[in-house]
Amino acid sequence: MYSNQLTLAEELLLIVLDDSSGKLFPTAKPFAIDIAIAASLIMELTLNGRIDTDSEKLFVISSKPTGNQILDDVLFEIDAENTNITTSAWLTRIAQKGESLNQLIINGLVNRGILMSVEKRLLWVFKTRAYPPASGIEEREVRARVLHLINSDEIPNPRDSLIVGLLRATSLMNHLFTAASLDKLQIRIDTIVNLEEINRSLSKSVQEAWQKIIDSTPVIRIC
Amino acid sequence: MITGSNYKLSGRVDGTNAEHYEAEISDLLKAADESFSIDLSDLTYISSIGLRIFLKVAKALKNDNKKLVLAKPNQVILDLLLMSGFDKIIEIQH
Repeated sequence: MYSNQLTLAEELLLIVLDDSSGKLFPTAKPFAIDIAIAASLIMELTLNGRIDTDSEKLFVISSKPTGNQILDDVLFEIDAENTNITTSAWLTRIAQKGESLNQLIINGLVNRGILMSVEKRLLWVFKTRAYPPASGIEEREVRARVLHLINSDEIPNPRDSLIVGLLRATSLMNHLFTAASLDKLQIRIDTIVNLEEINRSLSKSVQEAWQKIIDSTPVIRIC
Repeated sequence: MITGSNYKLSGRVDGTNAEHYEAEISDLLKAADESFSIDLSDLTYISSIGLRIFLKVAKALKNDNKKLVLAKPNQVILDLLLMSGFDKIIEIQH
């Protein structure tokens, strides 16, 4: 089922990876990428008719496997939960596996020849791995779709609305637009994002995680 | 319920039945005049997947220079539509 089509998680990771370094873009909110990856998996499951949401909860409507192991693991975990948990709570829970999920998704893209796996040396000593794109066609296609949608008055299809939500939540819009353009397009972006409940849950989860970090940061008083 | 360029959604619409409603509505769109109206007066609940029907229908109609009108939602459904910003894209008559 997913042999050729990119999932939202894969599309997001292609944009999150810096082409020149092959590493994740440094961001002020690194946890936001983990939450967005979690959201992208749940979004994919809603697009495939496995999960549905409303403003209060997330629920399984079909536990039939999708054929994608990462999606099916998330579906299995949600299906096995007996209590009602809000969408944003699920995002926080799944995001705790962010690093391993990211790696699994990257491995899948490497296996399909979309990314390359390259060993690099840091300070000539430490080995590190980077994942530059093989051709970059897939990422350019996603970027073009997003740019076209935001710069038009088209009614978005759900998949495009969701990818815009993921990019906004991870502050990656800054990499697609100049600050001045972003200012002008903000209302349009917000309109597109707001159409999908999961996008709103995603924003809420990122906001809550950010607030927790602020609350746990010691305040230095200068007397 | 189906009447010309109108359709009525009743009860609950979610991922378990959205596909059925979407198919029924899609069948009617070709014959629609310049606008197609969905009566929501008896709609009691709609999930995210249900809401996507409206966007898909509105998009299909817009491609044919037609428009979708969502009519008579109850207060709960209206609040949901407004919270989601659907009123910025789709005409809502209440």
